[in-house]
Amino acid sequence: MRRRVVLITILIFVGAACVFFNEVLSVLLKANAYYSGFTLLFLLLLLTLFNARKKLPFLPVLRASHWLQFHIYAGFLSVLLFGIHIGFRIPDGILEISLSILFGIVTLSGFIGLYLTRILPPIMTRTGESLTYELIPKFETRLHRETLALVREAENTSEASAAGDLYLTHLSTFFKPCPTWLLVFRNSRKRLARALEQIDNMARFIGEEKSQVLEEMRSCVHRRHNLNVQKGSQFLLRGWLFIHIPFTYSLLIVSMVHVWIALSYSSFH
Amino acid sequence: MSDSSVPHSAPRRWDAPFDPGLTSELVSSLLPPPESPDNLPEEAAQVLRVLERIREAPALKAIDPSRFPAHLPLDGILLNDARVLTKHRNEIIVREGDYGNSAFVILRGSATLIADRLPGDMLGRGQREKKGILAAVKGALGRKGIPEARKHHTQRHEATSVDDQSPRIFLQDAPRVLERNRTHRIHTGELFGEIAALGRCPRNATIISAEDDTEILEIRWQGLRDLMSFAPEFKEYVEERYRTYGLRPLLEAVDIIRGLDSTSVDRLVEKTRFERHGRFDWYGTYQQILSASNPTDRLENEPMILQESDYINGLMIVRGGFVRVSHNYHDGERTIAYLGMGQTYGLTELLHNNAHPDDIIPSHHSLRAIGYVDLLVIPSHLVEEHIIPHLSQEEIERHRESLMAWRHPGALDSSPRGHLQAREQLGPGIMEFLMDKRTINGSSAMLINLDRCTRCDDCVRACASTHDGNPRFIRYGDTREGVQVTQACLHCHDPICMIPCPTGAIHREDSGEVVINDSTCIGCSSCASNCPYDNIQMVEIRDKHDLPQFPVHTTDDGDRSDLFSEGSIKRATKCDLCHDQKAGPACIRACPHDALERFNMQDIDSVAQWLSK
Repeated sequence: MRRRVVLITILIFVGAACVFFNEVLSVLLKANAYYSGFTLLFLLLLLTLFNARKKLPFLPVLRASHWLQFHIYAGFLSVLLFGIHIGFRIPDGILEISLSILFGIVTLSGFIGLYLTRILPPIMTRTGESLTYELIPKFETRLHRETLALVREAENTSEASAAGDLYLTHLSTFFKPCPTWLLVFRNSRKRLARALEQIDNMARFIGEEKSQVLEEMRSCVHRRHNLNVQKGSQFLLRGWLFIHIPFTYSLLIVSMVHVWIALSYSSFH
Repeated sequence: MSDSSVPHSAPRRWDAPFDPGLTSELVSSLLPPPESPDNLPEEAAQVLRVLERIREAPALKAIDPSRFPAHLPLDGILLNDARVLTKHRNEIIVREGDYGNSAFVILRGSATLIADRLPGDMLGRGQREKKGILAAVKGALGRKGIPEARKHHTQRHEATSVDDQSPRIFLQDAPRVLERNRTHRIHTGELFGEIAALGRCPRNATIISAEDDTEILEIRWQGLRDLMSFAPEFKEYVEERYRTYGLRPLLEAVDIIRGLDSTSVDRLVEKTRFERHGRFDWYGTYQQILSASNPTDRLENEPMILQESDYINGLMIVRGGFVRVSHNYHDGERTIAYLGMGQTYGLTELLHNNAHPDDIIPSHHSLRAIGYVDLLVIPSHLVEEHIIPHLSQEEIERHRESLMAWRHPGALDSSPRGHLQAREQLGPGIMEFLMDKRTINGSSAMLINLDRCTRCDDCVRACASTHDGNPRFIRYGDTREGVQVTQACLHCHDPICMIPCPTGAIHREDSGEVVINDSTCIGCSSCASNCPYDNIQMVEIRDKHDLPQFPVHTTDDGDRSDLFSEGSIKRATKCDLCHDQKAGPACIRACPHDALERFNMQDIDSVAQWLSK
């Protein structure tokens, strides 16, 4: 908490200094866009270095957590610098618009990523056993087989129709493959509760001594719920990077083009 | 149809005598010793003559063989758990810093103990160089994606420990070293090395042979343990030696004793009692106990040292192992804390009883041995006479507050109760969990806060990058209340994996990491079998073509051929805390969310602090 306060304070001071310096340059009739532009480019390069640092973990250059903190706060600062650079106006021209869109995507995906990394881990932890993402399809297949075997096994007993009814009428939708990442946002607990309620309702029609199959069904439902949450959450936690990183490199390339054009047609040397 | 099956029996302790020159058949034929030794073959007669000399050694002479049970006779122990070594002048017998599981008795000649610390190169230890940045980059870029690839599998006998399988190691520049350092002569018949063997702690001095052909009896710890169990005179002898040579520094390391005058410490040394609880080889039953899912059953397996409401008759100091501190809670016991080496219990009650003779209170907690525990007990009257009068007012106040908090929970908002306060910070369940899993043994246990971990596996990738593409842990492990104890080497305080290693390949570095020397590992997997946490993996090593490597036979003419019949070469691998990396453990440094940390579990407060961040 203390660290956060210190970092936010530093960010505010640096941000204020940038605005002040820009105003001074403006009053002095200097080409302030060049200063803000190069500062922004330098900052973007520094932000990109975080990814390089992750690829080279043996380098004795601070912990990745320190880099992330820098990445987050420098990211906020870059938004301000971008605003200063474009004069807080709507961009025009193809290159300017492209740059702004790319910057917007990178920034927005970064904020979304930050949000996801803060809210999803506790949800996954609370839901159940932590699973390796690459192994989840295997667990899904196994669970699917087990559930069907459970229903088929029950067919040979007096619970046959009850178990079959329950699965076909109410639970098949729950077990059906679906975009799990959507479930993370669409209150998956409600879905779980509904499935469990269906099992409870069916329990009335099956004698207590024969309710073993329902207990096993209940366990399958819980496992499916955990699989959904783990899969959906980990998909999101990995997925946002597939937007953030490629667009960052695109932004850097377009920025270079922008710098080259700006320098080619200007008197700034 | 003929029955061609070969009868199998479970391996027994004395299937292979400690002395590789003896066979179990030969030893069995000598138990009990034959009545007419004159008719024995020469080999057996020679063994009997050696046995006779061993029995005559002053350290063992007083042992009464009739006290030993029939299945564990004294001669059986001496023949199976001991062996005779011959050392040359200036040859190192034990080396400071090494972990050993044997004690020694000099049968002939003498030895010199060097009390001062010597540089590693003098003791045959090579200086380990850390990888530079360029080497690390080259290593990361150069790997070709072949798991566990090694250039070649020649075994280099770098001296990592001193035993029969290593080459003889001599003290370098011995005359000058002996002249410039404090030394102590150990004479024929004297015992040494028993403190490290029984306490599983590093050797605290280097001992070299003082003469040529010095004959030494090496007794492995299993034999030492049995000798102490059945021969009270031997136990007394060992304890007396410990009292003379080992106890004083240990007592003086305890905060409340450190400042006492020499006379008081002498008195404490003289009267301190030794207690041992639990099984020294606890790791054999650990998994079995763990699988008993009922926590009450698990507790029942931990020997009770002191029961809640029993009166305390002395200050207890943990010499080795771990103690569970718990108190009765409804029908069970709730764990409050644990005590490790050098920590004490009982002073709070003793202080109160000393100040209020009319209101004597019993112990507020139960103490149980987690695995095994070696305790030192300073009798109450000595605590009252020598320790309590020298306690600071602040210390007395701390104990008074602790007592108040135990007797009237909630009376104090916060009381500085040291280790006993940790439970409240950690939350219910975690303490029990850490103890049940014996994570408390870790000097560098990897914990992951799953509320922060995004499961990105950057830690595993970083580990692989620093180990030629082979990750040395998996991000998986037992979890409780959002804390995962990850499957990575704990670098135990009591590293039992090191006990059976025949070449000393697995050893502890000066900086504390338990590491495996890949060039001296023979792939016997004894360390992996002994690790109670399953944190050592045996891997098949491969060549640059991704093919398994086999032992090579080289003829006198220099022709080489693979010995396929011996099976592929295996190596033990585990987390080495990136000890060869300048930047330190890559896993911790790679975590962007501060979700992964490594902890010395003796410092439970730092775990609590990290979790509450």
